[in-house]
Amino acid sequence: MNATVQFRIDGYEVSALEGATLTAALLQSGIRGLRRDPVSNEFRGAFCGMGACFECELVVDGRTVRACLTPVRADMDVRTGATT
Amino acid sequence: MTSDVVIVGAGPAGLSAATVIAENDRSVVVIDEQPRPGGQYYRQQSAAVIATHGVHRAEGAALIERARRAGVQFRSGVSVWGVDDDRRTLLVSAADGTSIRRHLAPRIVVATGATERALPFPGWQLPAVTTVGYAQHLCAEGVRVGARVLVAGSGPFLLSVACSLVGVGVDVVAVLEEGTPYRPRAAGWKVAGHPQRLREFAAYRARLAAARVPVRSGRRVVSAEETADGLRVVEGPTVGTGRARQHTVDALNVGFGFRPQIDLLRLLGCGTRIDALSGDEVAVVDVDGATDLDGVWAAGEVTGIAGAPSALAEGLVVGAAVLRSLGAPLPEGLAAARRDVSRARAFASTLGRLYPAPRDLAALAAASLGDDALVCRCESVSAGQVRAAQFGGTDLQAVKAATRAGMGLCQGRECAPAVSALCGSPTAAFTVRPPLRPILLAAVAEHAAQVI
Ligand SMILES: Cc1cc2nc3c(=O)[nH]c(=O)nc-3n(C[C@H](O)[C@H](O)[C@H](O)COP(=O)(O)OP(=O)(O)OC[C@H]3O[C@@H](n4cnc5c(N)ncnc54)[C@H](O)[C@@H]3O)c2cc1C
Repeated sequence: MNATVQFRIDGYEVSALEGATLTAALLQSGIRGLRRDPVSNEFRGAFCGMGACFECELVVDGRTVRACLTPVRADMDVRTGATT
Repeated sequence: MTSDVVIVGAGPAGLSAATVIAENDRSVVVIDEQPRPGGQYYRQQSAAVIATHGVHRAEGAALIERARRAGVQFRSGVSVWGVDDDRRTLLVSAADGTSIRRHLAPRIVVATGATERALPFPGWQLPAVTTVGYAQHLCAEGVRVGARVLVAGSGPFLLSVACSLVGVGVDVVAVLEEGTPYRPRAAGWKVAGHPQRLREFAAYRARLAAARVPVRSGRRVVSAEETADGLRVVEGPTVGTGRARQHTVDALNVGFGFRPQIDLLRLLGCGTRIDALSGDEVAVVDVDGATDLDGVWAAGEVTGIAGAPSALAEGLVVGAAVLRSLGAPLPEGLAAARRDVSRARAFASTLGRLYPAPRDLAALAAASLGDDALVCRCESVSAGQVRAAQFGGTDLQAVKAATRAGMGLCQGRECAPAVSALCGSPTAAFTVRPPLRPILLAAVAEHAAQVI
C-alpha cells in the first residue's frame, strides 16, 4: 500500500500520509500561517487543533474548512490566506 | 434517520454510553464533527498514519471497534449547530457548514467534552503559539510542533504534553507553571490517597528530569514576538519581582486547563451552574447524569473536568439510565462505574486545589495586558477597547455588543475567560446563540427549499 498521497498547497505539489490532519501536513511543509486576520492582515495559524477556535480556516477545493478537522486526500487543492 | 438515542460527542463519555446502549439492543447514533470517532483523549489517526507511526492509545481503538460491532452508527464530520423549538430535533451540518439537515433525537446524550482554557498575553495570536492540546495531537500522529519548544501555563496537563513532546524528539527548553503546585503541603497528602494517579504524576516528573527539561514553578509568559531567528518569548515571575529570561524557540505551547463545552446544553435549555472550584459553567445533572430537561442526559467533561477515566465511567452510568428509560434491564458494572466516577471526581478536585484557581489565572492575565494587546482573536479587539467599553459597569453582553469581542467565529470560546476577567466578573458567560458553528447561507436556503 502506498500510504503517501500528493496534493497542492498554494499551487505547490507536496506529499503527506493519506488521512493525516491537514494542519500537521502543512506544518511539515513548513507552513504555520493559514489565514489572514482581516483587520491587521497578519497571518494566523492552528491554535486549538480541535475545531473550536477557527484560526486554521483555509480553502480546500473552493470551500472554507477548518484545516484541523480536514484529513489529507490525494489531489486536494489547498489555498492558505484565501478566506475572508 | 431515526434511532432510539442520539449522542453528541464521540469521546470516551459518548463512546462508552453508546456501547452499553447498543450492546443492549437499542439503536444509537453518535454525531461528532471530528473526522473519526475518539474525541480528544482517544483521538484516532488514519490507516496510513497508524501504519507509519503506530496506534495512539490502542484501548481507544478497541473501544471504537467494540462500539461498531455492537451496531453503533457513527456520523463523523457532522457538526450540531442548533436545536429546533421542540428541543428534540438537532440541526446539523457537515463540518464545513454545508449539507444542512434535521436530526430527530427522541433521547439525547450530550457528551461534548471540553475546550482548552486560553488566556491572552502579547503575541498569543502568532501562528507559532498553540495550545498544549494541539501539540499533543501532533505528537500522536508523529509530528513535532517545532524542534525547540517552550511549554507554559498551568495544570498537570503541561507535564503530560511535555513528556509527549520529548517522546517525539522535541527539545523542550522548559515547562513554566504559573502556580507552585510541586511543593509539599496539606492537599498533597490527599493526592497520596490515589496511588495509581500519583505514580503517573511521578513518572512524568522523572521523565522530564531524565530529559533535563526544567519545570519552573511560579513563572509565566510575559510576551512573545516573531524575530528572524524564531519566536522570542520572555518569561517572568508570576508574582513580585524576579529575573526575566528570554527564549528563542520554534513554538510556544500554552495551556490553562479545560473548560466544559456546554453550548449545546445551553441551547437545549438545560440548567447549568458555576463550579465552585474552577468558576466554570457546568451542566446540572443528577446521579444518573439526567439534566433537568426530560430525555436529555449529559456525560463526561460537560459535567465538570475530571479526566478520561471519569468520562468513560460516566458514559456507562448515563447509558444505563437511558436504557432504563427504554425499558431495558440494568447493564453490568454499574456500581463499579459509579464508584469510579466519585473517585475520579475526588482526585480531580484534590489535584485542582494544588494549582491556582482559573479565575485567578484569568485575573492576572487580564491585569497584565497592555491596552494594545489583542484579547478577541476573531474580531481583533484589544484589551484597551474592552476596558473603554465598560461605562463604569461590568455587563459582559453590553461589552460584547459595543466591542464585538466574543462575536466572531469561535463564539467567545477563546476570549471569554479574559474578557470576563477584564470586566471584573470572572464567572460571567457570553450568551449562547445558534448557529454554534458557522453555516453557509446557501445551505440554509437549500434546506428551507426542501422543507417547504
Ligand atoms: C485538545 C485536547 C487534547 C486533550 N488531550 C488529552 C490527553 O492527551 N490526555 C488527557 O488525559 N486528557 C486530554 N484532554 C482532556 C480530555 O478532554 C478528556 O480527558 C476526555 O477526552 C474527555 O472526554 P469526553 O468524552 O468528555 O469529551 P471529548 O473527548 O472532548 O469528546 C467530545 C467530542 O464532542 C465533539 N463535539 C463537541 N461539540 C460538538 C458539536 N456541536 N457538534 C459535533 N461534535 C461536537 C467534539 O468534536 C469531541 O470529539 C484533551 C482535551 C483537549 C481539548
